[in-house]
Amino acid sequence: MQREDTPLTPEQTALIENELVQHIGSMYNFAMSLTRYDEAESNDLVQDAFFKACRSISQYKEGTNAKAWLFTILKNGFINRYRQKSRSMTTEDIDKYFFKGTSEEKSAPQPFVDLGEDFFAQMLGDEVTNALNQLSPDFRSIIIMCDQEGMSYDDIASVLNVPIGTVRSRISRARNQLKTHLSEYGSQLGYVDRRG
Amino acid sequence: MYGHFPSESAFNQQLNAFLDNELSTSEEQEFLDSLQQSPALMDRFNKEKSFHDFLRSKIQRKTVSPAIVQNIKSKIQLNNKKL
Repeated sequence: MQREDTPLTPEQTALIENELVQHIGSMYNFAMSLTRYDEAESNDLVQDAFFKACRSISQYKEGTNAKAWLFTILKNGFINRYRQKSRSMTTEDIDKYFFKGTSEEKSAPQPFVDLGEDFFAQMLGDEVTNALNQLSPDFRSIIIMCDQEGMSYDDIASVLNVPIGTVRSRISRARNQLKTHLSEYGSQLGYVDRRG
Repeated sequence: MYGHFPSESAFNQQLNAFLDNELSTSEEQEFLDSLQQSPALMDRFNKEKSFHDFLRSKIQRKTVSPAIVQNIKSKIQLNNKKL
């Protein structure tokens, strides 16, 4: 890794500006999902991660997947911050809690949850965000990466450091759980499934 | 009930992978064939596709403050030291 007091070369600066800067918005969006939408913490997380990426720019290969690389750095930064706050949890505990899922993942069935079109068409963005916030951190982050950031399963597997089969399983489960939360949330708000 | 899929979970995973464009051409064709052979599976596909589209349109993107972006850009321009 580049020493902190070593200036960036003009080529490195150009590489950062051309390939990394464009992902700051996505990094923030990902950070918000990890911090449960804490703006101040997300801002710190993004800046720390981005500057760490700049210091490590010699490890980045031009033209490869900058977003997945930045997300991995951000995720690791989040784990380190969380560990500092929660001395009782190890890095492995935090990684498992937030990103690796539970041991039930492979064996638990994934029944189909039917959320009627009429029903969810009445939902607003805020309500979806609230339902998303009810998900476990590993489910929330995978939906953000897949459905909002449009990342491939390969890239998500790389960021989370899990097999692609786990990504496939977790996305299916996360969406089903989100539907369940939306259904419960909608019922509380008085939305009705008009299909009878 | 689930075509050639061994379980409901397996079908759901393949359905999500299809909607996320994660299947190969041959896998896509195989999946579509299984839908054609089962109205129940086709119904599930249509429902899940609607939800998929809904999800992608309704999740609110959190927008980073321009000040944060500017701060990062400024430090890059300074080009060193305390990055």
